[in-house]
Amino acid sequence: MRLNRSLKIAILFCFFNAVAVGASGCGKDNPPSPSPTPSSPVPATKVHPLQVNRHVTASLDEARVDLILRDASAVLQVRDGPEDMVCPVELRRAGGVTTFTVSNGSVNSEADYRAILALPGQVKVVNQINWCGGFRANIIGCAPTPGNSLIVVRHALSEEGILWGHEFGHNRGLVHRVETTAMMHEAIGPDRRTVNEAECRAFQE
Amino acid sequence: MQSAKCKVQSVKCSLHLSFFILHFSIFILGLSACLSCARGVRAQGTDVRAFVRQTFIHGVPYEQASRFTSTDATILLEMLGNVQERASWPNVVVTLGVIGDERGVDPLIAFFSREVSGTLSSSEYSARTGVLISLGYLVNRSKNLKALTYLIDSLTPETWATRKLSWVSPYHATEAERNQQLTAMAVMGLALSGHPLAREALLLFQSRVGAQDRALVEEALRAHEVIAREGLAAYYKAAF
Repeated sequence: MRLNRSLKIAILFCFFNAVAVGASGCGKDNPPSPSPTPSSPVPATKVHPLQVNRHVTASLDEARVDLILRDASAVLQVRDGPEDMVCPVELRRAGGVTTFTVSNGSVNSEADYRAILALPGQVKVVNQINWCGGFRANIIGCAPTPGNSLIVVRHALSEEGILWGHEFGHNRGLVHRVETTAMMHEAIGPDRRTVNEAECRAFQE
Repeated sequence: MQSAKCKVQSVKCSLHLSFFILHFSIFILGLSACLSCARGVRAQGTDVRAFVRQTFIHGVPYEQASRFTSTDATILLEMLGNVQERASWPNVVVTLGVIGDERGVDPLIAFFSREVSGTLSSSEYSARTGVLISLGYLVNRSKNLKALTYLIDSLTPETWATRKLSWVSPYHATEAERNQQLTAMAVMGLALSGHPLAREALLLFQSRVGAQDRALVEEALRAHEVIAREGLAAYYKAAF
């Protein structure tokens, strides 16, 4: 009897330990979000039509915009690991890519930033951003949180969808997250593609 | 008798086994906690090489960059001279300035003017133009007069002719357009410097700029005031 009790205690400890290991962290990362299970109802895909407006000197054609938006949608819709979830949201191009001539193609000040945000369209593409809440260097995207317009520069194809998704996330009210796989991390990376449940809700609203 | 001995041995064996499982579990738990914490520390970028190899969406975070020291500046100066680190140059340039080590002044200016044939890539353009912002950070911390003078001189259009930059911007059709943008970036650098002479230079510049650059100079003067009074950390903390 005593033998059995000792074994049971050890096995129970192991079980709780395994659960604890699965959920361990330093208190900074948000817990992984559950993905919809096959039994739960699949919500309808929320479509966000986005009009793209580029500075006349910035190069970007409609085919590339479609690629970027397809990748941004895949970042949301595809479960990229245990910390990710399927988020049924699609970003889709609305109309053709238009052009603007405000500023010299760079965001050099708050005045430039506000003038470009106020232009028609949700996505504004420029050559360089040197102001985002202050003078800074090497900015690749900037957007109000929340808001209805974002500014980006051209970036590597492997990360451009993540960049647009990240900035659109700010527009939806999302802030940065320290989890190193998060799409809302302050630094971009090809494997930073995860969204949690709260973030997905914001994209779906 | 033998059966009882056997039973005692079995009890001992099971007890050993359960203690082994218990200790192993504690070990796994500890290991997991260590790995998670290590991941958090790495994310904060304590290694300067790892830090500058990232792509920060909203630019190099000043607060994190300002934690690096002169030892890190030595590493960054090596990276600036290494073409294999080309992709990291934009962040290397800015972080060097934020650290404020005066050994960075000459290499940064040399990097800015370094001869290259053809049109720059967008990354190289960012790195080179970032020098003008970086020198502002550097002056803020070190008060280096050579860096400050370089920025003040950049406000005069004739300076660009004497500097004879050989590189071509990927975004500007003419040298004059490129130089105008470089002047705008020098304005930003002077604002970030928070130096009293920078304010004087900006005020003088304000009196002769056209409407297009007026908003930039006005904002630079406002930023300069905050930075001179409260420092760069406070300036960025107030930003959204």
